[in-house]
Amino acid sequence: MPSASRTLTLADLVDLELQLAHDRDADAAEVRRRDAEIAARLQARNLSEPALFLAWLDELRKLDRPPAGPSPGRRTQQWLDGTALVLVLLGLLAGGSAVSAWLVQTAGQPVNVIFFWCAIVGLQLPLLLLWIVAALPGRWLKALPGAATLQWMLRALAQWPARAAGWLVARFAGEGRTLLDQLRGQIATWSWVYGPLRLWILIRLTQVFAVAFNVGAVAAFVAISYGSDPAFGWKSTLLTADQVHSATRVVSVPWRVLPDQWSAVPLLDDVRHTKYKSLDPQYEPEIKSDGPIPWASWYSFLLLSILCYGLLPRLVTLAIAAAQVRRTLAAIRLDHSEFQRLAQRLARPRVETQATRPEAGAPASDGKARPVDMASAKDLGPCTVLRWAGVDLPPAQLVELVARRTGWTLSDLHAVGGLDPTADEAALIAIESSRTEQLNAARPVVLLVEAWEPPVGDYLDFIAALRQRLGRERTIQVLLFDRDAQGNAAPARPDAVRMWESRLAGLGDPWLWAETLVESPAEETRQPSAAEAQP
Amino acid sequence: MKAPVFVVVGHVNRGKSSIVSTLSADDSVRIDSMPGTTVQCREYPAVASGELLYTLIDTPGFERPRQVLAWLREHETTTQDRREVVAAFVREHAAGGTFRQECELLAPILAGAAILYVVDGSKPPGVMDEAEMEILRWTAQPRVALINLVDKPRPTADTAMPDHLAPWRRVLDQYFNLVRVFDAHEAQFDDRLKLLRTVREMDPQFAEPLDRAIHSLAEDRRLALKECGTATADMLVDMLTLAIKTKLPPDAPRGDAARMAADYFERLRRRERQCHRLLQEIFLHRRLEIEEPPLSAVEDDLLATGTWNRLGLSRTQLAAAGAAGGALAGAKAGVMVDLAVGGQSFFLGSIIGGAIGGGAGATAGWLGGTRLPEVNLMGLPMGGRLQQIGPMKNANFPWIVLDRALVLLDVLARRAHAKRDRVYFDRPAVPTGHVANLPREERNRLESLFAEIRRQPSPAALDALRGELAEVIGTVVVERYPVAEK
Repeated sequence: MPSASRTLTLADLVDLELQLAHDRDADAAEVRRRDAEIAARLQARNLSEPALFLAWLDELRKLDRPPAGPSPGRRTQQWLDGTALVLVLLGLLAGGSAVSAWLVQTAGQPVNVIFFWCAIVGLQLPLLLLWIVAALPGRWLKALPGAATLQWMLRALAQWPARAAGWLVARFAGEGRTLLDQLRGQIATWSWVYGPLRLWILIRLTQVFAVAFNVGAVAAFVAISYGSDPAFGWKSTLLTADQVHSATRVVSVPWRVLPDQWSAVPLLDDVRHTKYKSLDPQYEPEIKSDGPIPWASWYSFLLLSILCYGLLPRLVTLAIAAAQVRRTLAAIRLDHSEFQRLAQRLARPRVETQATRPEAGAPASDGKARPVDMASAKDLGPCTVLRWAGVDLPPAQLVELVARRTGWTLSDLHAVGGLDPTADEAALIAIESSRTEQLNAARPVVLLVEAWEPPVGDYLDFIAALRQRLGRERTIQVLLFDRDAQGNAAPARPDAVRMWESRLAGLGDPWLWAETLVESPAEETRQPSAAEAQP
Repeated sequence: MKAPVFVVVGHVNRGKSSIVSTLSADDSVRIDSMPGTTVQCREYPAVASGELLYTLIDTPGFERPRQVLAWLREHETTTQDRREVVAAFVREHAAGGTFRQECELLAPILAGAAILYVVDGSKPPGVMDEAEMEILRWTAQPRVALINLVDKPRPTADTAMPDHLAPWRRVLDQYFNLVRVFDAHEAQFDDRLKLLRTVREMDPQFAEPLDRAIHSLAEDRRLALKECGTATADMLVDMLTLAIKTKLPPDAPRGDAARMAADYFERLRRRERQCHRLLQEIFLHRRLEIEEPPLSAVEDDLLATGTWNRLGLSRTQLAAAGAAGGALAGAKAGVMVDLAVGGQSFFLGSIIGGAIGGGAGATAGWLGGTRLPEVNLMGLPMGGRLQQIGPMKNANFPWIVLDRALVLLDVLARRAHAKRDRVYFDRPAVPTGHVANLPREERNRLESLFAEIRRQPSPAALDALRGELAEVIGTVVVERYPVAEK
């Protein structure tokens, strides 16, 4: 049995999302029945929501006996581990090859230190700078002039594919457009909820490659230096030995404290003596020294450059990325619309009084909703209800229906959607002020609309304004109200629910979803007995 | 005179495209329950003999009517300038963005089109509808309200859909001079003409072009029905005279009879399909999907009781029609004898001929209804043998084929172009037994023609019979679907 305090892993998250996506398309009555049974088993443990979801997942995994193989989440983790391993191998190969190419393919000439340093170390520095700018939190950007603009440019570049997709979707019409809208909305939803996690997982993979590259470079540098005798020198028409020496002193600031015998900073004389000319057939140094030419005097400097400017920063960024993956994973709240639907299913076991099988020759179900055992329903807290013009339910019935459907109790009610749209703005302001007063920033909002009305721009604009007022992660549940021939509240037609679900999915808002206000009889489930509830 | 332009506007999913589809008899109009199916205006010009009679324009639905009305009210100066304010709105937002749909649908109205405002009578009126009607009133264009019924009543044992027509009428009467119920999915040809007559009343200028349009449509309908008669007659003649023959050398073994029979029946089926496709084309139901039992009935089920009950004639009817047809043919031969003896026979030839022909026809009708063609092997005078199947002698066969054509024709003639569900021939909702209910005289006339065609006359005579059959079937069809022009 899983511990209530067990932390969420990436595999859990993938499995949870896939299970919820699967449930969305599955038979609603079957899903409710299954979850009612699981809820009954988990009831005694009184778990908080994230732990409850994990326990729910574990219960589902138990149902998969014998398991068909690693779960999709586990497979995703294995795939990521495999990708990291491949990147390590590629990085080692790339780093080792790059250094080997420089050191081995010299055709008898000394290795030009300037080019070698620029290619192996220097090139990594601007890439590192871009990485830092892209990853820096906004409040730190102010300290670096131009960093904010650079970050904006980098992020705008990253958004370009989404913009292009939006432009393309606008060219379509009909069913194709609906499907593309839904797909775009799904991607936007995942980006909204899991964007930071996805980003840091990708960054971690890139840094694994970068670390492996530098390890490969260092290993190749040391190995080739041990096995042969590479000569390091430099040549330049414009640079003087003094200037090159000054540059080396600047570069070697981080390790200048090392003792002299390490030769970590080339001496001025060594710099002078290792300058050579291309046209000299003997490749003699420009300035003859008394002793042997100190071709190897650059060795320590170059090795420490790779270690200090290549490997070390990449180890730090890898550690940061790994920590960020853990942190973002731990910060995931599991509270978007699908999780809230699950929470409602788990918190609200239903009662059905019908026989388990139809009597022979008896007519089919009368199609009327069964009474709900409100006493067994778990109160999930207060909510704000916005009633669109046309939903003419008496307040008492409205309270009861909303509580029955969501488990939320009504705390305040506002009328919206009247002929004058400026009145909607007033309602939004009222919601904001009441929220401040009650200090309940997480209170969900229910929007009651007529199920027979299609989700046109007017609704979507209002929902967008509501989202802007409420902030990113407040729940907005759209409940579809319909009437039967007698004027009683009735389940919304499935095609109307699908239409709303589909259009809202296109918005890519993870905390927004649509459902019927009154459940259809098919969705009712039988509350399992205590004996049935035992695993 | 300039042909009138009608723009069909309304809220999203109120059935605007359905109305356009039915009015323009165009089943290519995209109809979808998902909002935003129509994103641009689309014109449907009604043209007769190269002359433009009127133009229908399908438009995207209102998406933000409350916001548009708020904008208009905010920019309102005087009542007389309201139309100009609407024009200013379109000018300001025409570049696209939030009010793209509204600009798209208002542009033709501002260009002078009359308004056909569509509401859904199966749903109650709402705030957005009110905003739309107010916006349309600001345009000051002639307008008619059409109450469509998108969702048909969902009656259960003890309930019925609430009737929203009365509240709709009360609301619409405030904004429109003319309000009509027009069920786009059930409207038939006459309903289309009726609607055009209603629209004609919107503006005196519309009277002349729409009168011409109504006349042209009615004439076109009559010609279409006649054309159906010709197409069906052609099919019947081809099917009744179809025979496959293969010459075999004297010592050659008998050919594959089963394959020959299969080929024969396949050709019959193909000919029938060809005719049915032509009927769909005539009624412009090109995309209609029809599930009809294949004419395998000819092979397997022709004699089945179900087929007899649903299609063709009963055995008694067949015998009666056969007798009448035979008597007519026999009498014709008798007349020749009477004429040859200069009337000295006191028309005994005609009487005897008619009696013999009638008896033979009745017997053939009674017994021949159950006979299917088989592959026969015959010797040829010049040596060798002839293997042959057909022509079809089964007495009920032409009646079943004609009945199937009339069933399809009935569906096509009554069906609105907005209706997109499949048609299943074997459902009780599709009425059958058309030929069984024909007047006796027409039945006899047809049987007589069938009998003569079966006799494989000369090509010239067959051609004359073909024309005669087309005339009879055409008359039957035209009488069945009368066109009320006035």
